Amino acid sequence: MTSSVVEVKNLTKSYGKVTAVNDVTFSLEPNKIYGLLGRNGAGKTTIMHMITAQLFATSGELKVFGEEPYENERVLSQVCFIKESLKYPDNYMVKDVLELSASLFPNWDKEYADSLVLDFQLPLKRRMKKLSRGMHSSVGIIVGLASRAPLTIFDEPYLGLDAVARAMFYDRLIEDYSEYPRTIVLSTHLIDEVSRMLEHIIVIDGGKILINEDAEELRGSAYSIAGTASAVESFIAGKKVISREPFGGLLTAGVFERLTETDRKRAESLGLQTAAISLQQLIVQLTNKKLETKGGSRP
Amino acid sequence: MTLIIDDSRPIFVQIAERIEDDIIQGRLPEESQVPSKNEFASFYQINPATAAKGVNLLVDEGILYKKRGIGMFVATGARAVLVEKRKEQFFEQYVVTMLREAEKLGISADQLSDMIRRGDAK
Amino acid sequence: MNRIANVIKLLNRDKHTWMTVPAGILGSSFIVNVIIGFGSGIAIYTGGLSSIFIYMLVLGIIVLPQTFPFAISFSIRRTDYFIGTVLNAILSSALVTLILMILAAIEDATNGWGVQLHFFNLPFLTDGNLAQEFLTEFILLLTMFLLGFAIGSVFRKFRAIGLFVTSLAAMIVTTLLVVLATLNNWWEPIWNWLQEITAFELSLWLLPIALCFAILSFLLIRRSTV
Repeated sequence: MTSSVVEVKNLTKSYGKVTAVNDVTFSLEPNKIYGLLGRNGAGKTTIMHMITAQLFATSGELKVFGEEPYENERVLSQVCFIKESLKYPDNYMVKDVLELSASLFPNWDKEYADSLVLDFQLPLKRRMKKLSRGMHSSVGIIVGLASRAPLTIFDEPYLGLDAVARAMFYDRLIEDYSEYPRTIVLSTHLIDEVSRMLEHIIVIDGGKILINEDAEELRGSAYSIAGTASAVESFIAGKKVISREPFGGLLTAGVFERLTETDRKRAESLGLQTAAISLQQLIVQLTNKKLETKGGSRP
Repeated sequence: MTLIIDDSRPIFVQIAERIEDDIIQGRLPEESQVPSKNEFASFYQINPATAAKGVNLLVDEGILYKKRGIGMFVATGARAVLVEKRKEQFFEQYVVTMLREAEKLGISADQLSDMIRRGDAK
Repeated sequence: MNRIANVIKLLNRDKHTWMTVPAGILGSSFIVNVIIGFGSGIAIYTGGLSSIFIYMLVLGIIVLPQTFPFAISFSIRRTDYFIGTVLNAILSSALVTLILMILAAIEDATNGWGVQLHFFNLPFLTDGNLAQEFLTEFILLLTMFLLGFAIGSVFRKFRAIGLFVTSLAAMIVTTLLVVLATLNNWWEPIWNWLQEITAFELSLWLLPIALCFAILSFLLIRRSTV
């Protein structure tokens, strides 16, 4: 089990002059939960569409379970990709989707799917197009979980789901993953909600990889420092600064470095305050260079 | 004990700290079984690998030990070791900081012990 | 084989599109004609049957937008999707033809449903023997579907602009052929040929055309994306 589930090398996807994915290289190891994070339009969905052979790369190499995914039954039967924009045939009912999934995904667990239908209170005989946005998303979540595909990808799967249903999704995901480990990719901008479930984090920004790091390594790898502008400026000189928020004569800066004991003492002697930056804040600061909050909108 | 996981520090460290707390406060007596990594994972909604890392940290320190095929158990003498370790941390984290702050405010050692007694009475 | 069976399963779960709607269209056309026949009292030859052929064209066009993105999202290969869909169209065309022939037999036996209506038995179309009648209708239904499928595939791969360019090209080619035929006085031989040929022979001529539609669809679907 040492070989990678996904191996991506110099992957690029352009549409005319627009480069949606730009020379991306990464790999996914078996049985880990990955977070593919970034703002809307960063290129996350495009990458996942290429991994599942739904889009074609402009250049670069792509291996899934060691093989090219395009028209490859051995690969595709092991992959389940649930995305926000998934379109079902107009006349399909909920049970049509579930029964068909049972024959399409080799590891499908019918009993588990049935229990999830109860959990999410889905009406089996209602037509897909008559479902509320949240129920529509629940169907995708159930397919994603019950398929138990060795590579399961959720791309913003919870549009229209309330906090309670989202918490239920996370709960079931962790529970089922513990029992049936598999490679899971969660692509989302709701970083704070999923971050503690993640083992590894890949941050995409403007079609490029910004961070590709173990989640635990990232936690506590940045801090903010606040105080009078001049003192903060002298403290952060030469450091990896990721944000800067002036307020009158004061300044708060984000530093993407571990806070060493020496630095902590120095900050104290300068009369500066330090605080740890959460993973969510770190990614927001890294991807929001203009301090916009567009990527943080809730579903 | 809090259920909230702080996302600005490694989670495995926080899991280890919580197990330590439980041992120190007697909620996990010596030779009792510690919840499995999957139980930790669903309880805190964290990755099981992260939970395992926290538990293994304590195994490495000899606080927990593994019974093959059964699970993790609190080692005999673990509590005493932890209390010692925490006392040292207490000194660093609270006493030294307190003295530094007291010095800033011009509080003498006598006044300080007075304050401690007063706090104790509360 | 299992994968292709899954595609057929996927398509037939939508009973509306593949059963209810075509049966409804043909049925209502038939009922209207029976009513007219009942009122008129004379023998009626009607083109109501064409509705089912046109529906096959429409079905070919809509099946792709309805099911292709869903199918490839659910890990189905494009090749399997193509084979499954065409196979399903073949099975459906055969089934429809069978039903049409049974209804034609009933029509024959009941003196046109008691009102001298010729709905399922039409001169020229159903002139041959039973096997020829079957193949004529079957090939015509399938060709209509494959034409629609090809149109749908062009749209899938090249969107509206592709469809526009293709229609334009088709129009230009047709115009050129018409001009050529006129310049070379081909119309008379063509007319004579059409007079002599039976519906069955004509339908055989459709086979290579249908095959072209199928090959075109296959090539385009293989390169189509979500």
